[in-house]
This record gives sequence, C-alpha cells and structure tokens, in this order.
Amino acid sequence: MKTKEENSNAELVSRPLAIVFADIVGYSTLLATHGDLVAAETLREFRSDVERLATAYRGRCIKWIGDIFLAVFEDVSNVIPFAAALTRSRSQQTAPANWRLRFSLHLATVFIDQTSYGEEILGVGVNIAARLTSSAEADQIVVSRAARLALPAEQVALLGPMERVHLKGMAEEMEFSRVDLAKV
Amino acid sequence: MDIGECASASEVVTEAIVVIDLVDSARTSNLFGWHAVGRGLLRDLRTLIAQIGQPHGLRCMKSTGDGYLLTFHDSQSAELAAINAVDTVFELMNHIRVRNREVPEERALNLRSAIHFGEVDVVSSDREGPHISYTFRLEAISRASLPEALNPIPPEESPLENYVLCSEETAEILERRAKKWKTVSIGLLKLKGFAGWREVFRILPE
Repeated sequence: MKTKEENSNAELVSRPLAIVFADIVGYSTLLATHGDLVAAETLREFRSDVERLATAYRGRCIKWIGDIFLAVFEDVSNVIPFAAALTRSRSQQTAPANWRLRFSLHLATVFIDQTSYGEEILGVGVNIAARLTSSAEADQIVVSRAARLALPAEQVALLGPMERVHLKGMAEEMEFSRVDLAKV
Repeated sequence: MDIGECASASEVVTEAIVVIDLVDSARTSNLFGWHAVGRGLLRDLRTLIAQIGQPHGLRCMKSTGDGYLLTFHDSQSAELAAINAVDTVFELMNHIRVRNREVPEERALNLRSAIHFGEVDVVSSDREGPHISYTFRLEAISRASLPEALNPIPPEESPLENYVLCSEETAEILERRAKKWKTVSIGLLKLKGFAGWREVFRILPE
C-alpha cells in the first residue's frame, strides 16, 4: 500500500521542522458560558494574535481546527518564546478572551504539499505532536525528546524532568518534558 | 431474531454498527417528488439491505430519515460481526451498481456509509449509546472535512458517494481478520463530542 506522501506531489523538506500544536483549555465551557457569538468574535481576535506572533517568531500557521492551531517553525529555538509570548498576551486580556492555552512541540521531517485549500504538512510527526498536546496542562508546553535535543542550552534549562506517555498509534512510549510558560 | 425485534431494554451487546445515508435524498425528493421518487428509493434501499444483511447477521435496522442505522451481531465471535457488516455494505453497493444501470438517473441509489464496532444498548427496534453517536459522526465525514484533518488525503482523491469509512477499531479487526479488504487512512480528525484525535479509514477491496 502506498503512503499518502507517495501518492501526493509532496515535496520533502530537507531539514526537520518544529511542529507546534496549541488549544484552548476548557473551550467547550467557554462556549457554554459566553455563547457562540462572543466566542466566535474573541476567537477571531485570538487567531489574529497567533498569526502576528507566529510571524514575529519566524513561524507560520498551517491550519486551524476550531480552537486548535498547527504551526511550524524553521528554528525550534523560536517556539518556546512564541508560546510564552502568546500565553502572556492571553493573560493580559479581559474575560472571556483571557483563556489559557496548552502547547506541544515536536521536531520531525515533514512533507510540504500545496493543496487545493492551501499549504499542508504531512508526516507521522504531525500526529505525534497533535496527540502530545493532551499531556500538557494549562500554560504549559510539552516538548518531545526529539525537540529537546535540538534546543539551545538556555532553553533546555527550562524543561522539567523527562516523562513518558503512550500515544495512540505509536508502538513505543514517547518521552517529553514540560515547560511552565508563566516562568519563561 | 427478526429484524426490528430487539431484546429487553437492559441488554448490552457488542455489535458492528453501520450508518448508511442516501446521498442527495432531500434534493431528489424536492425535485422529483417524495411520493413519485423519494419514497421508492428508500423502500428499495430497505429491501436490498434486508435481503443482503439477514444472512450476514443483521440484527437491527432503524430508519434515520434519509438512510438506515444497522447493527450486526455474531454469537460465535463479536469481531466477525464487523467483517459481516463490511461484506454486507460492499455486496449492497455491488447490487446498487447493477440496479443503477437499469433505472432512470433520478432513481439511482448513491450511498455514503460508515462502520464502527462497540458496545451498544439494545432498546426496542433501536440501539443507543456513544458508539452509535460515534458512527453517525463518522458517516458525516466527507471531502469537505479533509482540510480540517491531520495528514489528510488530498480532497480530490475522496469520492463524493459510494464509499465506506470506518473507525480505528474496525480497521484493526479487518487488518487482523479479513485480508480481502484493505483500509487506507484518510486522516486524523476531531469528532464533535469525542475527545482526542481519531484516525478515520476508507475501506477498499484488496
């Protein structure tokens, strides 16, 4: 059976990319409390904030899935500062936009495809990063072992101890560390 | 057990769950009339499902308005019910392909279907529980869902009708027990009301 990458016209990126996922903690509760219209308006402002900060830290947003976004960064060392800046930006907002975020970071070689709906990122690393997000608490970023190995020393010092999690679809447990973004 | 005759309200069983939807049924009924065309399509579909499904362990068949909720049971092996469900859906599509060549275009049957496997509550002529809801979520996935998936297939590779999607659970069973079917991931998706990312597969003949 051909892989999706073989089936598509995907172009292999020659170096790994930092893959970042983030979501809003308790988004369903926010929707229930404030209603669809308020949530949609504040989410629109949030998206604009994410795009601005991602660009400032030389990353780019690939897609939004409700309250979740997928972004990639050429330089993995820009991700923790980006996540910390976005977390600070949210904490300075008034309710309901002062929602708390959680992030995941993984480093992997991915395929970049230009699709009918825009740029798409393909590869197992995307699934790993997505599923790793649920290990993060609010205001945290969880960093995979692969990403940790590529971080500069001053950022490695921010990481907590290595933990393990079994991710669905993965044969082996994944190792990751946490960063408390409020302390960055 | 006859179709539609289900056991007591407290019964919990592991079954293969199938949701079959008639593509464009509302449009067809609006354009050509419910009594003239729409009703006949649903009745034809129901007849075909009953004929083909009964020898494969079809245990419950419930109308959903523009399609049917089906469950399959196998008393010897719960997992075999999933294979029987897949066999039924593909046999149904083969019958429909022949039928569609012989009828006017507006009377053609075109289907979307999804198959899942799990524990369900048996209620009178119906089934309840999160696995039922999950199967309806699967069935609602279409080409338009793919931009919101992770590792999606290109949308243009996803057919608009006459395809069969399945859950990870079903794909695992087919992988282990039914070599005549192959499953191809169409991507990881968020399904409303269900936590986490769920990989969704398309079933194809090997």
